[in-house]
Amino acid sequence: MQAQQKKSRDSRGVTLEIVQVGKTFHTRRGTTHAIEEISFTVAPGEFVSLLGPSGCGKSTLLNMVAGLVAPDRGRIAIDGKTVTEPIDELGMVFQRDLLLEWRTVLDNVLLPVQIKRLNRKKYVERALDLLRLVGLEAFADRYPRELSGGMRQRVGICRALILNPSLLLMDEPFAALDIMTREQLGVDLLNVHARYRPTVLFVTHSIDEAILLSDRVLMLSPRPAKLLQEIDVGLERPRVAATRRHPGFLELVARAREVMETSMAL
Amino acid sequence: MRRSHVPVTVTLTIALLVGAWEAGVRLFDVPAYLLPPPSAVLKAMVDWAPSLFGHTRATAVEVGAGFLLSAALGIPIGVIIVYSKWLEQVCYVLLVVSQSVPKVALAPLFLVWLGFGLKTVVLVTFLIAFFPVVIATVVGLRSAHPDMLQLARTLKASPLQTFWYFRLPAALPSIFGGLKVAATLSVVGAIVAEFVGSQEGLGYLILTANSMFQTPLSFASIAVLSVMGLVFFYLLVWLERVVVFWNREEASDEPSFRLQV
Repeated sequence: MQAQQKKSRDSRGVTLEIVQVGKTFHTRRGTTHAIEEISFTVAPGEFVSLLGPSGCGKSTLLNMVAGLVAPDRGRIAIDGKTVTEPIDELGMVFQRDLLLEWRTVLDNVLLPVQIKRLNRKKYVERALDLLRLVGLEAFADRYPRELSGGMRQRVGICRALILNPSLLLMDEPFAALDIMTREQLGVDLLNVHARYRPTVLFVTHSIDEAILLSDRVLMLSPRPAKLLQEIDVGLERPRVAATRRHPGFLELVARAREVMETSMAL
Repeated sequence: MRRSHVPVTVTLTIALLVGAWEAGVRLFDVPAYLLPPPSAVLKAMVDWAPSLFGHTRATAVEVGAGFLLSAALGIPIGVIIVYSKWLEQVCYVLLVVSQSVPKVALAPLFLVWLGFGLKTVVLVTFLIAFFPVVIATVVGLRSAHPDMLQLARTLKASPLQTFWYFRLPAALPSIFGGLKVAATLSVVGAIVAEFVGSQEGLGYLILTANSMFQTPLSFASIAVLSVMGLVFFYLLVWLERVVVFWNREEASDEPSFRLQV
């Protein structure tokens, strides 16, 4: 608890409140209960993962926090204000990198700057800093088609961070990548979070990933999603690749796996 | 087959076909007014060079004007159809009706309204060529990936920004597909229109040559026309490569290890 309070003091991240949120989709083909009822809070600068099996509704929940979809029940508040549309300080990373093929890497990172009509010159330095942080500084003038999948996703992460967002939402950003690239990007993400301290909500179905990266892991049941278990990851920061061999880490993974297996067997 | 071999192979094949044509005509003693040998066609080209040049230029102007008009109007119409449900209904009805009526049937009517010459030909050319451009624009704009549009929403992009930054560039490959079809159709359209309503141009020349049984000249005109169509088409291919520069297959020696998402 104390560690969390210390974090919130020197972070620019927002407070996230999900209060009794539910979502049901009505289509011609029938009704889908995506989310039954979920409540949780995220403190400023906290890194929280939503962990659950595929199709359990975690992406829907993320989209609601992003302001792209409205909840049917309950309320989502950012810094006390109810979410009705994407907030200005939002950075979002999707499973597909969604880079614009016709723009250079640098221009892709600077896209939010251009759309919000801000002064490009002021942000070029920051863009290059971000690219340097993920090891892509040399590729600033290249086009996305010249990069590998992992590199492209890194650019996507830089783009999400260019305006120093106070809320970073990530929807299974590494799902489409191979394991080694995944792990490398996980490390990059840790560096980024350590440096810039936004509030992060990270959706994944990988137990390892969730525990390595997060301060807390919220485990969700299969559809309709409910909060099964909240796991406090007490491991020290900064976390590194070697943390995966830490006995504390392994124990947490085992615990999470047990919860997951039980919920899926039901 | 290696890339450098293709032009050589094509040239050889064409040379072989032309040679077979020449030999066949001579062997079977085919009268010139039915099927002239390539040598006679070439001779006609040389003999009629100044006239041929003038008519070629006239047709080229018509094709160019008709095509540019179809692009200049076709693309905006496509955009409007995507962005306005009401206009979409109206436009589609008009479009389908206008395309169902054969332009050859309409050409004499235009003749009465606009008289012989450039205006009638350009109008017919435009009507024939602009439909594929509209369709290609609509399809291209609609093919924007929903995830891309979601990204635009998270960035709070305005509809105009979403169009300009996300939808339009993604639609360009499709639009160019439509433009390439329109290019070929423009040539067809111009010739058809000339048949009915013009006193100059390669179409007119073909008709006149046929009526005088000057078949070699007729063939020569067709040959020039084909070259014009080819040149025009490849001009667009080049333009597409310049504008839609990101679509090329990377012809590099390094293996492309980008994972397909």
